[in-house]
Amino acid sequence: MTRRFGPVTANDDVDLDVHVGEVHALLGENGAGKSTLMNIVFGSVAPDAGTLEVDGEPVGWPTTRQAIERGICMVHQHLMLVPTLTVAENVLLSVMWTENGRRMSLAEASRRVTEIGERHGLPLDTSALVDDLSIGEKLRLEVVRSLLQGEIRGGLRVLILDEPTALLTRQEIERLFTILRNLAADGTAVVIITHKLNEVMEVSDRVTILRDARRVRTVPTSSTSPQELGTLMVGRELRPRRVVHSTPSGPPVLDVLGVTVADHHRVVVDDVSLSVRAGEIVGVAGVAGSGQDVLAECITGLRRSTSGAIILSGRDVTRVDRRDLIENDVAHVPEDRKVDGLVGSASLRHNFILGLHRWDEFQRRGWMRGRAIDQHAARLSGEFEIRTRGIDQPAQTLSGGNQQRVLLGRELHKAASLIVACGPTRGLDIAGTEYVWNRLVEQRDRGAAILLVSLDLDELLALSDRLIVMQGGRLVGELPAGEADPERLGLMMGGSAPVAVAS
Amino acid sequence: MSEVLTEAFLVGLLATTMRAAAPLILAAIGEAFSQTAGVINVGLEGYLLTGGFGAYLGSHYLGNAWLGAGTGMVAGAATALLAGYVMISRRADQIVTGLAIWILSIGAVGIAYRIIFSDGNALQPQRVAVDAFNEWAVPGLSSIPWIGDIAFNQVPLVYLAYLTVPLAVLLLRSRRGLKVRATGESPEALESAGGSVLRIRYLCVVATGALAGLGGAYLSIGQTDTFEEGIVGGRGFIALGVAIVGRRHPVGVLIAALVFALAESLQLWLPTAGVDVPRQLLQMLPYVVTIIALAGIFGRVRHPRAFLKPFERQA
Amino acid sequence: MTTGAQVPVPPTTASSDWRRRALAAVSDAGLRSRVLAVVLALVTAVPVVLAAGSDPFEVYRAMLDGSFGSTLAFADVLNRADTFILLGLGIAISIRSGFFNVGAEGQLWLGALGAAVMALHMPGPSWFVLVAALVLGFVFGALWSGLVALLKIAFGVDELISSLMLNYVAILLIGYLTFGPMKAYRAGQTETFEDVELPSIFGNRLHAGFLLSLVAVVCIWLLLSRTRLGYEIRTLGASADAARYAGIHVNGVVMRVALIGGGLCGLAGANAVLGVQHVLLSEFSPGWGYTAIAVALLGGLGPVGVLLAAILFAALEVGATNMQFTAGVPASLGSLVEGLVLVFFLFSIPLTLSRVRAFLRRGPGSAPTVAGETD
Repeated sequence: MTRRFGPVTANDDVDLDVHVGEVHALLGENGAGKSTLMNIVFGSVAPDAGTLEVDGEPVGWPTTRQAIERGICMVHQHLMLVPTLTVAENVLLSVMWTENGRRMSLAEASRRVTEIGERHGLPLDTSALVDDLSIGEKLRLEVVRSLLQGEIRGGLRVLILDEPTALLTRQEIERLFTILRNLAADGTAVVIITHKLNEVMEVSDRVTILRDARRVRTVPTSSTSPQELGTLMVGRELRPRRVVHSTPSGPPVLDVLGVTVADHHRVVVDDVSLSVRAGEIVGVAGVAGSGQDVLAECITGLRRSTSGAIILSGRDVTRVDRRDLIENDVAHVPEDRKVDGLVGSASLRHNFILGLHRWDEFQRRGWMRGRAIDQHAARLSGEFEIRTRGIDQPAQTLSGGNQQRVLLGRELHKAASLIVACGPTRGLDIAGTEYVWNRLVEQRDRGAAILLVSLDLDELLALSDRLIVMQGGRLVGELPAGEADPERLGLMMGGSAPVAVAS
Repeated sequence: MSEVLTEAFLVGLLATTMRAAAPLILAAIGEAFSQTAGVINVGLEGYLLTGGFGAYLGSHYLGNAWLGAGTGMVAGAATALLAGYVMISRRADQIVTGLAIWILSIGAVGIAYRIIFSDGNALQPQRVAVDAFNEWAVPGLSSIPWIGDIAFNQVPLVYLAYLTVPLAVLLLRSRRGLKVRATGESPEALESAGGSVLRIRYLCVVATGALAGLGGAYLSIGQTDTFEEGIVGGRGFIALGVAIVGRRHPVGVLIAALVFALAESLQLWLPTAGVDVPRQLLQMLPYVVTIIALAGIFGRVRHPRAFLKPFERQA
Repeated sequence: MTTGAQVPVPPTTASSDWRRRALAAVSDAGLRSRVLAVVLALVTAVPVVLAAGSDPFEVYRAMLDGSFGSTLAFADVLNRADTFILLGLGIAISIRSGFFNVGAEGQLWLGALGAAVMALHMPGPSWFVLVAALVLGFVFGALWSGLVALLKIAFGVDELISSLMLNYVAILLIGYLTFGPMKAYRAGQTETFEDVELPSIFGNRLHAGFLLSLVAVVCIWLLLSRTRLGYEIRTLGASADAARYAGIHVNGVVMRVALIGGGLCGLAGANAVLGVQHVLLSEFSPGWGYTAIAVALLGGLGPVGVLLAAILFAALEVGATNMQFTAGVPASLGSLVEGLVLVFFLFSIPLTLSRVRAFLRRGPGSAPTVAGETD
């Protein structure tokens, strides 16, 4: 029995068949078309051409509702839950009718969620507000909801999960994978979308690799290796990406002393101390929401700490205005360049002086100096090889890689003593990533102190001279580059490993 | 103060308050749902105006107040539909759209009123009395002392207004109510559950228009038997405040509408009791209370996550 | 403690960033969609005119005559345009900074009040009183708008609703004053102040307030395009997050914009009472502050656009009033057409937006595919 989709022109002629009882991984880099393909199957995106077969029979392209009726469910990357409703209400929202065509009631939805939860080992408090659930619990709710939908349609036939592991701890991931394998054993075809090789190896029976919206190959997982998958995914040999590490001898540029941040009475950063020397890259690892982003906000003056001190080149900057920091000593590559670091609708000219617009070079007594600004923008465009029609071009019309170059160009131009880089290669392709990495290493070699906050372990391992790990707002470990590997970091990030603080 | 609080004064004041709250409830209760679904109807003032004029026109030509109320609802709903189309389908800014619809309503009603109800020269419309609603004493209940005079000797539209409150509570608790909340909070989630954000938003906006149209009908053929261009007098904007201060919940709307209506009624009744408070200062109260409510004095008013935000399906 | 950057920005919902983009689209929409909106509005009004039993051609010609047909009429148009220009500028600069203040009407009334108070009670030579009245008008408008900004900064009150509500408070306040403490021999108005008036220019109808509004156009143009505050306003208007990131003291900019914008609206009110009405009435404005929102949007939120849109809307209103006497169709036609212009303009903007998006998807010309994008 096969469920067959394709050819799909929107995805450029992709064929995909998924068997009952298997976990099928859909592997590809960002933008390879994985999510689009699955959104088509789930009915939220309409294809330009192609056919879909379920159980060997050709069926029309479904709407979302029809997809659900056929027992096809999807867990989206951004979970499709209403935070202000309870667990049971969220289920009721999408599961309207019972098997025999009666209206589902809130009580019944609640009862069946509990029932399914018990059967599959997915306990949920049905009266809890979704907003109060952890990411893992929310994901659990999505799976249970899919199961209930399947149960009502006589079985969940296809369950698609789009990058479900992004925000989970190692332990939660393992629990999820067990559930997926059990589902497959019960006769559901499970499709998991991911770009993480180790997850493919761990959970899937077969894997389809997509690249540039085309299918590269479908192979049984047992007959392949991570290296081969990596090559297929990026289209060339993955180079060992570790850069040469340095052993800095310079003075500490940044000292964070016992910084604590409370947000709405919740402690999000808990007594964190660290220091970064000149000529050193310190990586901060941790699953999303471990407090690393808040810490970076404190250091860059976007947020005030509740207690503790931040010393920059010997000066106490704990209460110093961000304006003062970024105009002089701190370069900041923010997490989300499209939201923070750039004004998308504004020209490159405008963006190249963002945050520097009070420099005497660019204004005098409140009047902007147009010519100096133009020259600055033109120079940086050239220096950072930005492909642009000119400095009047709006930043948002540049590609992601070029946008990041604008941002880097502006920030690195400051030649600041401290660089705080948060997810600097997020969403970039390999070439873009390499460019950013090289530039950061260049800065380190120049003598800048760099604090690198990233969710990407590969990036952290490749760039950092020293790694610190945060979990639940605390600093739980510190490793020199030589002793760090993904497994060890993963365990520390998940908070279950015996923590060796090597400082 | 004791000589002020006579029975006649209190009964009169409260009966007036009951009446004055009716159009506010009608306008705000739909608005509460619209806002919950993420759409604000700044044009509410316009819906009330077209509703009031539509009712007057309907009663004039059809000779029956009830049919007039029906045409009022249709007029209000049609105005809201136009606003909804611009806000929901064309995804234009909601506030600006609301103001545009309001300006448009003033122009359209003004010109239609003057054309239809003026003899010869178009400048001065004649006041024409039409069939209007009469008070209907609820048998039995209206003879309860005090309460009967306050609550059960009103025109039918007032009873209808209060009837919408329990109905709205039921609706909010139903699955459709869940969908409305999901639409405002997490439209993508609703779509992925097989619902339609656009459908829910249109339903909410058009229902708001229809209810506001009924509120407008009360203002023209409910409390009078004629029409003038200034009958709405800012009640649409007060109703926006009612919906927000009432936390977008029917019961909250009911309470807020009564409080605001009390302010409106006091300016009519205080002079009869010999208390001289400038009416303008009393009229300010609803607006000031709304601002204070938004300032979080009574706890923070939380907007839905997709408030004011148009929805677009993925391409 | 320093102000600004570290202080959490009031809860601007995710939607407020959408609004920023939507309104940016307003300023980007081309001249064509503006002209189209005006033409469509005039065409749509034709059936209404026919229903009134008049000849649309006659009616529109009467409107044209009534606005541009004589020096007298044209002076009236420019006097009204003066109000719309100042209001439109005040609104435009607010919206450009992402401060969605729809309180121009209230600021207009407060400005009129300020000017009236000064004109009635300030001793001294009339030129001095005049200047003082203009200044107090500006100040009153600025304070009224500053109150909205304060509520936003200190309590996180959404400026849309607070400014809308404050409009009514302002109108009622002047109602109270003109029926109470400031009442003249007739209820609903103050004493007249004929001797404190803006001097006439070009004959005796057009008052110097129009020149004042032209000066304001130049000043706002310079402010937005040439100054650091302008840079910060534009940054903040495009993205609140980016502004915070850039170390801009967001609250400071919002407050300054509110004061300047509100001041301009207040000045509009001062001009209207000192130049045209010479008395403060309880029915001082029929809602110019709202019409001016249409002016600001149709003018693309830019000073020159506002100038042109203001003259257009002034001509519509004055023309409609004069047409009422000559062609016999109610002057409400002007208001109808204004509403239609705005509705049609709003119709056309999302079109422009989706065109931009389509352009981005296809990529500019033969440019390479967008590399490194997540979605």
